[in-house]
Amino acid sequence: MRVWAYVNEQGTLCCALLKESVPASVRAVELEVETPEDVVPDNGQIRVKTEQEKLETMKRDALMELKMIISSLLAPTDYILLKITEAQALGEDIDPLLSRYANELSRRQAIRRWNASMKAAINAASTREELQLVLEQVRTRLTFSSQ
Amino acid sequence: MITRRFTRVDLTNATEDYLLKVGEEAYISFNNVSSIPLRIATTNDTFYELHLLNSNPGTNSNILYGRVRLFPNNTVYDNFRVSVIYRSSDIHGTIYYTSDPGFSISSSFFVAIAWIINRKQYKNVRAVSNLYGWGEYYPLYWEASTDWGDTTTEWASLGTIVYPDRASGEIIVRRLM
Repeated sequence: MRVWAYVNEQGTLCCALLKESVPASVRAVELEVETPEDVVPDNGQIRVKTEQEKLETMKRDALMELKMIISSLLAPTDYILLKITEAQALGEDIDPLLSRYANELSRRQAIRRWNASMKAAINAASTREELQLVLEQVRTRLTFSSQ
Repeated sequence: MITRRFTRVDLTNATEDYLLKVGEEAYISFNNVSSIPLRIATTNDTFYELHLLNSNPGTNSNILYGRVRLFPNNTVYDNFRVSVIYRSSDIHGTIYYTSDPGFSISSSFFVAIAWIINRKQYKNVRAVSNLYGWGEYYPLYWEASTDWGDTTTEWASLGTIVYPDRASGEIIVRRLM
């Protein structure tokens, strides 16, 4: 898509999506971009993100998405940890709790292992296409095994 | 009892902004595009209700990942604060962005309602939506509230809705106040 980028009076980088939306008082740079977020300020100039910068942005977003998925998967069994911690604080034997919640604790470990492997795969991706394939795994959880 | 019927204006092929009167609604149909200029002029102290319905089928093979935003004045700025809450079958969470480029409407393909307020000191869009096409993760409820932290820039054109990729659907914008 074509955009017209400029810095406004408040010093904010703005990117008009229609040519007529550029204020008459500014000089805009016409750029061809994939998304308006690809435009960045650089030492007083305005330019389009490099492929490496786009990949880094995508990785940052992917890691945030993974973090939220992991957090959601762990949250329903967080109470077990509280029970164990509470028992420990009171000096009680925690073995009965470990035994009672063995399946849930094992699933939590599996979630953490999957998290580590997905995080490594995200960080290792060298292109956006590669990262997209990792993201598909994260979103569909195809590679997640609760064992 | 007072019954109010909105008068419809078709802005599908509009080439310049139209100022909706209170009680009027704009209808915009879009087909296989990623950027939809609403072509609606706006002024200080106005309030709107926006309905957006994607017509794309919700299959797993054509999931569109990425956020959908409304860019006021058809321009991308960088001073929006967004709070999001969402819930699907087993995923839930909250997101907070402090320097987003526009008003958050939803993500992927969806059916959404948003309320838009344009006041000099308070410019906000609050959107509620259901995302679809995400396999077994349904219904996927998504709610976002975005404040535009700029009290000096005049919001004169309601703006452009931008998808991460091509989409089709229909939009209705009603001016309530």
